[in-house]
Amino acid sequence: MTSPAPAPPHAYVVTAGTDSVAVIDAAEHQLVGKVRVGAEPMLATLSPDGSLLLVSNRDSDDVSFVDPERLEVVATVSVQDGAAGCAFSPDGTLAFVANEHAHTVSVIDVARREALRHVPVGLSPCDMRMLPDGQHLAVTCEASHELAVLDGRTAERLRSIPAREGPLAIALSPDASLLVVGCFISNDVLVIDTASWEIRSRGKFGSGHIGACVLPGGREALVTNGDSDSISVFDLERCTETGRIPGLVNPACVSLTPDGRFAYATNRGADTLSVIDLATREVARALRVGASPLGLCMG
Amino acid sequence: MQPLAEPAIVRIGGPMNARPVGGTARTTTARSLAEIAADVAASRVAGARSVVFAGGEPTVRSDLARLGALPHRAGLGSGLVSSGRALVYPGVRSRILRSGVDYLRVALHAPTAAVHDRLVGVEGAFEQTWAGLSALLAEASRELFVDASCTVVAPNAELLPQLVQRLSKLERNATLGVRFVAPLVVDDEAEWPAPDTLDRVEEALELAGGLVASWEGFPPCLLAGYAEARDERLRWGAPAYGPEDGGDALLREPADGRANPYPCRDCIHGASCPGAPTAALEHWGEAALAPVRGVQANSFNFEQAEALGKVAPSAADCAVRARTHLAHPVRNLVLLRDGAASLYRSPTSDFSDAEVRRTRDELEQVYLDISETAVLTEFTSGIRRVRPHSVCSSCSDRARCPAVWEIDPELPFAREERWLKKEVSRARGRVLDVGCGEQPYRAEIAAGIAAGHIDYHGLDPDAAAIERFRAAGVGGRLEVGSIEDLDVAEGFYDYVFVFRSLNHFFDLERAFTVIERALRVGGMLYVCDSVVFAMLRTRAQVEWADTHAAVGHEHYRNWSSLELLEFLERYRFRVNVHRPVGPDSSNQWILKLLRSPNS
Repeated sequence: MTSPAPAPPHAYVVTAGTDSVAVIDAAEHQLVGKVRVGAEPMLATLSPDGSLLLVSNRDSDDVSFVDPERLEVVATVSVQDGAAGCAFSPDGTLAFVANEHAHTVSVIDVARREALRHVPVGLSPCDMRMLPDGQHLAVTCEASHELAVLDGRTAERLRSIPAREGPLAIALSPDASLLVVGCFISNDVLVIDTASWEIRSRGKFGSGHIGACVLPGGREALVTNGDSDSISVFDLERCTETGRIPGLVNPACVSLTPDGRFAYATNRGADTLSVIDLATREVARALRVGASPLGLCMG
Repeated sequence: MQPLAEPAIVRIGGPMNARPVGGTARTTTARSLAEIAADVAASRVAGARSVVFAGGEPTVRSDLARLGALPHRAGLGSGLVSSGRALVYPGVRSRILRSGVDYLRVALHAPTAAVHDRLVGVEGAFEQTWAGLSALLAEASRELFVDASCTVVAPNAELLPQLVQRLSKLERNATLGVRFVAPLVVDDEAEWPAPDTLDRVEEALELAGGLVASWEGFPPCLLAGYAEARDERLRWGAPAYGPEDGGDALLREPADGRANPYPCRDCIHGASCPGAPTAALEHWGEAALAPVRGVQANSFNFEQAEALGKVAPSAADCAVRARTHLAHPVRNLVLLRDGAASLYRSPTSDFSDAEVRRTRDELEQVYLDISETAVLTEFTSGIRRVRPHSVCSSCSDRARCPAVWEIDPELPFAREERWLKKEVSRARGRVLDVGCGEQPYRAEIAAGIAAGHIDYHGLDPDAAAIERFRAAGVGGRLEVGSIEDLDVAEGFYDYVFVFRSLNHFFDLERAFTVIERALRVGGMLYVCDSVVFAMLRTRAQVEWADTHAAVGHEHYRNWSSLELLEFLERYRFRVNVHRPVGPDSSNQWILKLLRSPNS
């Protein structure tokens, strides 16, 4: 008796201009499905057990809970103006949404599919990462130029780490010991120790950072240069640029495939998804995914 | 009269006997007649109809007569490029005439020995060339075309008219031309001609009545009044054979020798212009160019031509394909509506086939006019998108078939409109709305003003449009004027809106200089505009649209978001959101740009 082949890993690419999420077979790098969500969807994240895809809808001020197997919206929950970054608690009972224009973070009871509260944070909260301890939720606040660290259950502010102008991109290292923050306006990149919440290193390279991810091994990371059609590769220890991957068009978000061999990056200026071979550090191919692709997550 | 049809250049190698003005002087080994003959034969096989020998001085070769005759033996026209010095010798002239050369280009850079000799680096060169040229012109028949070629540099600029006057007075049987050549390189930067040197070139061309005047290598827009005299066949484009490392009296532009900087993008000559020479741009800058601005069409029609009845596409034995196999695949398309098919045909002369193809097949920006008369302004409700039928999209015959298109029931601009309305409603602070007259987001602006969220300043050059806006009771400060002339304090505004007015800006550089100054660092610039689109219309709709088209609101360009981004590289803006036009979007692109810090 043979066991069934495991389902291929998928990438979920939010295409804001078509109010949809495109589903990519991350093994074959092929578009395999699409699901319509709310108005101007921005970012997405999978629940820890992979059973729910959470998509923020910036212009309908809500989030869509999507069954990723059936590609159906199973619930829509109202949040506030400018829904953007989103995250689940490690146990999957809570979801959090940064509301960029309301300057709040919404806390959602996942089981009841309703928002419990909307907590004021800094100005223009954009993207967020939940730490595996479930106690800290880090949120980039673009207009108040800080990284807000919130309580992982209540979203109450625990501390603020001043950044340079326009912190937007955020990524967590595989062991969760480091957070990378990229600034859209100042072009600074900060590497923050999540134990001490001290800035361990900082650098300035590229331009218009929107998305970031840490490479396998945790020594290097990628940050998109939304204004210069490239991705910077940088060393986390010294926060210095070690390479640059050209051939993108207004890249926004970047994420690794589960096998760590490729990075996917959304190109808002070309309506495509770039597949980057991490062995060669070159764009291997580009897929048309729909208008104005922005957020993406893997699972 | 120019005798060189489909020319090829064959380099002969060997020494030169004068410095090539505006080019590079290097000496290579002289090539044998056999080697040269092989290249002549190769050029013939490649389709050349004449051969010009250059890249070395042909008149110093002992086999000159046989060299000049080589092309004729291959059935080709024959030409030589020479310094002209050796023409002073009767034997050389005799060999040239005996060989039957059709075209002889002679370097003559000034009407005086002092200037010419200094430029070519040989004392006495002018006297030799002038005497030889005079004699040759008298000895030759009119079948020989002698082209006196003058490279225009600073030292000879003022002498160009005088050169033409002296040449005109030469007694001649042969046909005589005068050619003004832009330099590629100069030894001394001070020798590069100033832009106003072209006034002297024009003056000289004007005086050249009895001569065959031509010019090459200057930006075409700077000699637009003499466009018919532009002859650059040997300067670029013509294939060249033989070693490239030799010097050349023939100035050859490199493959990347032409560019289309920003001013060219707004020029109505567009694709018909070869571009500005990069050598001239490096010295003069793009500001020296003189693009011709003119009104451009933003859309074209496919007119209903024939009812095809109830036919539908199919993967095999397609009935539509059978009915339309003679129709041009770009200029025709079939609309399937309520089960009935109609053939539409585009007669547009405003756009080339390539542009039509890009609009319909790459970007799929094709719309059906559903208004009773014809839609002119109410595009959000008066038109529907049409998209290729799914059978046609995957058909292997797609490129050769007009294809069937179907109506997309969704409102074509709904997403872009929603996005823009939301952004307008989120604005907080001082707003400058450029070209506000037909602003469709009045409700959002009125709400922002009423709530005290925005301090609104609407600007439009159309007084009537401003009056309509005022009558709508939106509020705010409304002003008749153009962005190019707006006088505003630096960093005054938090937002600048340019909604569908970019294509009406007359002076784009001036407009964005003002916008850059007006917007505070960190402020947001929104630009939304459209690329070319196609409309499906009945004949009656086309006629109604033609007779009711609005006057004024001149449309100067059809830029894409990518073109604007390239242009804006010279300003301090950074892309925040970029929504280009593609098959998944309407024909409206959107850019949200952040004003970058000044440093």
